[in-house]
Amino acid sequence: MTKTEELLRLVLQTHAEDAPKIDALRMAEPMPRSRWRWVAPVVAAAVTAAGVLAFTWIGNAQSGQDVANPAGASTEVPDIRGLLGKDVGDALGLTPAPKDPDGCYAFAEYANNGWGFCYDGVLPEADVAGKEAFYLLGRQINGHAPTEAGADYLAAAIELEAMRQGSIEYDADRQEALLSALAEYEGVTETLAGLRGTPLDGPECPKPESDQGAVAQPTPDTEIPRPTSLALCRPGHGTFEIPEDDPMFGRVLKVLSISSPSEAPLGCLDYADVPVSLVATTDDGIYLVYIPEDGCGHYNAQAKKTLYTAIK
Amino acid sequence: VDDFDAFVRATGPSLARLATLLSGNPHTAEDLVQSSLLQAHRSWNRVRAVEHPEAYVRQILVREYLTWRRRKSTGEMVTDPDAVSARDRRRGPDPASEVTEADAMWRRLQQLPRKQRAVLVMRYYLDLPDHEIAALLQSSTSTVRSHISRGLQTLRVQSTAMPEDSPR
Repeated sequence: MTKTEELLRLVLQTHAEDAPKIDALRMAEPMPRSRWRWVAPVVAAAVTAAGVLAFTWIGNAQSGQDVANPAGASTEVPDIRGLLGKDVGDALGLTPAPKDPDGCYAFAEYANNGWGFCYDGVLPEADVAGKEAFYLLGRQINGHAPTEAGADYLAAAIELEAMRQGSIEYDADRQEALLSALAEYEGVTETLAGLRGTPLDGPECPKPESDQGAVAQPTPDTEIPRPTSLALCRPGHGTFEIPEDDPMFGRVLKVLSISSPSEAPLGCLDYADVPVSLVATTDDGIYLVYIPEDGCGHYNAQAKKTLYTAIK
Repeated sequence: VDDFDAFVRATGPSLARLATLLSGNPHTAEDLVQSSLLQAHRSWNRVRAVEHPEAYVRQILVREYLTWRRRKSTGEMVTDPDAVSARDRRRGPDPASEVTEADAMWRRLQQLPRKQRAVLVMRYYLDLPDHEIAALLQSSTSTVRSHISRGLQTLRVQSTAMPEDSPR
């Protein structure tokens, strides 16, 4: 260890003592609305709801409506198709806010003076679909009417997120239709080769040969029937299950079915994927799933992104 | 809910320490921890089912830090100057060069690009190996090593008290 490294360790240990005191009760207190208006209802519910996890439709929560759904009855998602600008947020029950409020990830303006809505909790977070929808919304707000396909996409993204959060009733057929709508807009046009891999003896994550090693990508020589669950094994991080009723499940299966091109593109980027393995449980057995690759031998970017989104 | 409450009690302090080292000041650290725990709560059923929930939330926190909304119109997350000066005041003038160098290093650390800083904190505070840092950042081990190397190069103290780095 060099002297710089040694001093760095010392500095980090010393300054870690400056950390604020975090206690659960304080975390449960409603945060100041000026900074945390978007998240306070959810955090407060974490400790004070006395067993009732009222995952609420955040827009309605902000508008003060009673949106708890204890009976599991379906709550209709407002249809924003055909709406523009401020009407979109109003339809969703959101509260206007000045530009870039702290703690808001997906803020979209509806006017050039900076006012807009925070769409956190309304649109899917941190995945291609969410970001795409977010930017689409921005364009929409700036007076560019979305195409019919774009409006369908945004509506599907919002409904899918509501289903994921449990603010509307889960419906497998509906979910499939929504995912198809998203995939259609995003142009998942690659040839689908089906889910492939090799049989495994058990559902456990296959062990690498050494601690630092990785499980080799299986050969895609066996067709895998539709799984009932998937398990993503990440060395050093554990196993992340993606059950059949997960809203992302159908989408994950679709991107895993993309065929891998046999020819390399003009050039390959010099990087190595963090190796993972994917175990599929089906009614006919357990399989190690082949993750589609690009022409350079890297994981297919879309498959990788979808998998990580699913386990987020 | 009780599970989550207990989880916050058990892991809050360590998450706060990590957030403080990443963000450079306790106020932003508190916001980061709250935001990360909020995300964890949203997916609590999934989080508590994983092998190491704390590692999972730590991952959320690091990513939250890397994508934290920029502050004010400057577009940068500023370090709280009061926090630094308060520390200096507590110490008072210290003739020991090591203290001066430590403070200088802390200031340099805060000027590093976020990813470099996060990688250094994960390596030298959390003691995570390259491949775990790479997995957490969805990056490659060679990229992680590159961040470490560049970060250390920037931090390297160039004073007579610490002449040149040499492996020990």
